[in-house]
This record gives sequence, structure tokens and C-alpha cells, in this order.
Amino acid sequence: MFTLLSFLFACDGTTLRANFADEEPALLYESESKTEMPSEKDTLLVLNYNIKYGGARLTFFWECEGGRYNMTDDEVYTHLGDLATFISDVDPDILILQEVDRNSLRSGYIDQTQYLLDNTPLNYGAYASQHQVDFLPTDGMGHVDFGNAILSRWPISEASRIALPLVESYPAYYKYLYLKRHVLTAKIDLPWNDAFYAVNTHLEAFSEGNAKLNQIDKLHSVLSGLTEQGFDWVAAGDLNSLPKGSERLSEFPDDCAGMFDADDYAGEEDWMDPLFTDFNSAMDLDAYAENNEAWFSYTGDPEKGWTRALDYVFTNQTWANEGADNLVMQSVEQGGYETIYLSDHAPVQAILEVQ
Amino acid sequence: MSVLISLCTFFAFSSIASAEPTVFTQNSATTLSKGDWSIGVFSPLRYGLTDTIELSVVHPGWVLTAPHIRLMSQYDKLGRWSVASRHQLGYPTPLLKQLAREGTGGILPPDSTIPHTLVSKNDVYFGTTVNESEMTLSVGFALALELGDSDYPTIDYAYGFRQTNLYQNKTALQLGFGWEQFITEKIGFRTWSKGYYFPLADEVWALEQRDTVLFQVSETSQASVGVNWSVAEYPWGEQWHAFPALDWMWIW
Repeated sequence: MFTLLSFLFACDGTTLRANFADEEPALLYESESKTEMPSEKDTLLVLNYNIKYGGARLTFFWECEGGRYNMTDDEVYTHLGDLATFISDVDPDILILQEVDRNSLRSGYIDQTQYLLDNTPLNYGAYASQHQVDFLPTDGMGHVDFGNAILSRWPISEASRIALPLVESYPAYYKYLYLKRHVLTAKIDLPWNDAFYAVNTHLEAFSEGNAKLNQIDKLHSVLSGLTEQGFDWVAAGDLNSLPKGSERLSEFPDDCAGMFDADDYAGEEDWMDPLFTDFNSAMDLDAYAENNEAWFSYTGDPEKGWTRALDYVFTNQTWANEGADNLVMQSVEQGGYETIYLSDHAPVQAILEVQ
Repeated sequence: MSVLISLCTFFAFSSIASAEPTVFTQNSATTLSKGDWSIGVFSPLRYGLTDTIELSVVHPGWVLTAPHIRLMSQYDKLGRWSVASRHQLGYPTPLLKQLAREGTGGILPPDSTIPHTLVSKNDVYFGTTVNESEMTLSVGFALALELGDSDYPTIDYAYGFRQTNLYQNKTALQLGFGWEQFITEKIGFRTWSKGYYFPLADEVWALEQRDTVLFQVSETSQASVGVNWSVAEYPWGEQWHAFPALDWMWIW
């Protein structure tokens, strides 16, 4: 068995294809037909959204009380259609997405990046996988390609997948088949700025050792590097971390007692400090300390409402209106849309001053 | 690591020289002699019922999960060509049900609905000698019948795909080509390629090849080592895979 596993791992390119290089080009996309690409704008509307691979509020086997494995094509198209309608209404200039499936069995082999490009006003896209296995022999998952995407109104001239540190404590076979987190960078050719990047990431959900801290450090290093090279950038993602000023670090209302270990962020409060100190966050930490709930962007149980802030947007530029228009689009009251049934995360809107 | 790289390289180069035998292979126009038995570490149990009829069942390790029975009949020669036909009836349902499980080893989703499935595979083999090598051609078809509700995905990976694609899409047409040659008394090579066409499926083809170096351990024992190749059209596009091919067969 050891020999067979060794062969499989060593010959990854001929067997399961689950590995990535430290840095490699991301996949580039284009919409079927193009919409208007303004040659000038004063601000850019940036939307960050973890879309749960089009699963909406179906409860999958990895969720509390979940029993679903694969979706039907109708379910996937219905959920993606709802997301596309919402995105089209909001009409972002740059859309930063986490948990996007690309030809995975569980979501009917539908290329979700292409679907969203073809059904929203966005024209160009870049995709990088965080979990790619030719065949995952677990829970009938089969072929998996699951990752993050950046969609833009303007062309993306180059995009890279930069690997993040893995969870070292996992056994070798598990690490081989498990998610491999990354930072996705996309150079967007704004007509008035040829040095602009959008950056996307989705960090480790579970704090195994220092994996998440190491990933935050690497993200900081990538963003600092872009600044040092003279690029303007906006970065967003699901950082799976709570910021300083969080009133609750454990015992969340959507914890799943008895089925999973309860989430506990105690001891991690300072991990994101370098990001907040060195870059401009769309969420003002003082505003967050005053009212945590307004910035909550995740819940595992829609009946309990949003329970914690996990999704963030940063820039090395300036937020329009001093950031007053940045918010988590939680509901009709806050953001204008009832988003709690579209995904387990809420979209985060941030408006960037660009001229 | 260097050992593993060497292994990969060995398997890759072994595909350059390869072929297909007579008595030691299941894929030839030759049957076992009357009263002879054969089995391999990974090959089925075969028995020569007469000099021209061979019966085989799935490897005893799999008999409860994937039962099937196979009859091979050899006919009069057509010129320089040996001719035989092989007919197989199988019942893969228990295996599919075992594969639908939670957690590690869950090849199919646990909520799969697996129907009773009967599969019949039929091939005609033509074999001849070319410059002291054995060449085999085969042509055939397979039919599958599902009884009851069926709701499970195809196993979208090498070997599993062409099986489940057949079960769910009822028909496959098959073409095979084999070549076997011994370079010395003890060492030879064998290649066996088989193409599948699924006329009623969305993904319509699969191709498999097995390239092995043969070691004739004795008159009644043969070991083989090499590589299995598979390429197919999957729901997300074409993909190929390669795996080690190992076996040790005995005849008595």
C-alpha cells in the first residue's frame, strides 16, 4: 500500500493531479459578449463574495445536519442565476469571488466563472484552483476543481496563482488530497492606470498549528511586494479570521454541537494586525469595535442570522468618501438585498477612489 | 524520492517495447488446454473445460463483490488466423453499493441509488503469428441492463468510467489489438490496447493500453511488470492517467 501511495504521489502528473507549483499562471476567461468598458471612472465598486460553489442554503454533508452530496444541474443553475441577478443589480467593476467550482462533479460540471461572466456585466476573469483532484475518493466527491476568481469589467492581462503555506500537521496523504490555499493576483488594464492589481485569497478555515498565521504573513508579503513594485491594488477575501475588537471569539449561535468542534478564534485576535496597520481596510476597526454585528459576513445557519466577520477588503489606495460607503450587504436594511439565502457568506462592498 | 522517480521513468520507458501472449493472457484467440487451471495475483481464475472451451470467473478475492462468469470458445482456424469468442455475464451491483459510502473510500456518494445491473460483454478474437510474434485483434460489443431506479454518477476516472458509462448508457462497442514477443527465452514484452465507443452516452469514447515486460519464470509461471495507460472523454474534457501494471500468473 505504501509503495502504491508513493507511486501515486510521485507520479502526480499521471494519476490524481492534486499538486501545484509555488507560482503558476492562473486561468484567464472572457465573457461571450462584452459590455461597456468605461474609459474613465472616479471610483471603482469592488465586491467580495464567497459564493459556496453555488450551493446557496442547501446543507451539504460537511455542514451542520447536512445530508446533501451532489447538486442537480437545475439547482446549480437556479442558484447561479440568483447570484448573477444580484451581481448584475449591484453592477460591480471588480468582483472577487471565493469558493467557485470549475467542472466539479458536485456542481454538475458547470464552469461557474464562465457562467457568471456570461450572465453579468463583467467581461474578463481569472481563476485559480485551491482544490484540484482528478478523482477524490472521499464521500463520492469524484472530480473536484474548486477555487477563487477575479472578474473585471476591463481586460486582465496576466494573473498568477501564488501558493500559500500548507497545514503541516496533516498526514502526507491528507495534505496531498486536501485544499491548497493560494493568493490569486490579476493585473487589470484600467484605461487610466496600467499598474493596477486585484488580489484574492481564501485562508485556512481551521487553525491547525500556525497554518493560518503563516498564510496571513504570506498574503501580507505579496501585498507589500506589489506596493514596493509601484502597483496600486485592491485585495479581498475570506480570511477565516476575526479582527481585534471582536466581542465573541467562540460559542457562536450557529455552532453545531455534537457534530463538529465548535469554532474558537481565541488567541488569533492579533494575527491580522499587520494587514490593518500597513494597508487601508474597507472596514474601519473603530467602527467594528462599536458595532461588530454590522460587519458580520458569515453564518452557518440562516435562522440564527449573521454571526461573525470573516470577509475583508484592503487597498494601498484610498477609499471613496473616507470609507463611509463600504459595508457588508447583509439584508434589505443594510445593503439593499436579502443575501442570507444566496450563500453562507454575505458580499462585502467597497468603493475605491481611483482618480 | 530518486527511487520513485526511477520507478516512474522505468514505467514510462517500458511502454516503448510491449505486446500480448497466448496461454498466459486472457486476451488472445487461444484457450487453456483441457483440465488446466490458471490464476494470477490480479487475474481471474480460469479453467480449460475442453481443449477449445475455457471457463473463468472473477478473481476469487472479488467473487462476492463483482461476480461474473466468462466462457471462451475456440473455433476452427480461418487460414492462418486462430479464432475464438468470449462471452461474459456480470453483476456489478454489490461492488457499486460497496463503493457508495461516507468518508475515505467513498468512490460514489453515499446517497446514490444503485439498481440491479446485468452486464454482458462479447468479443471475437483473431490471432496469428507474425515473425515469431503473436498478434491478436478483437472486436465486440457490450450490453447493460439496469433494473429499477438508478441515481448515481459515473465514476469519472480511469477504468471506472468506461464501466459505469456502459452501465448507465446500455451499449459499448469494443476494438482490441495485442502484440507479444519474446526477445530471449525468458524475457519478452506484451502490449494490449482496447478502445470503447459508447453510442448512447454524452461522453463517447475511452482507450486503454497495458504495456508490460514479461518474465517467464518457468513453463507454468509468468511475471509481468509495466504500465497501464488510460485516456477517455470525461464530462469535463479529455484526460489521461497511468498506473503501474503488475501481475504473476500460474498455470497448472
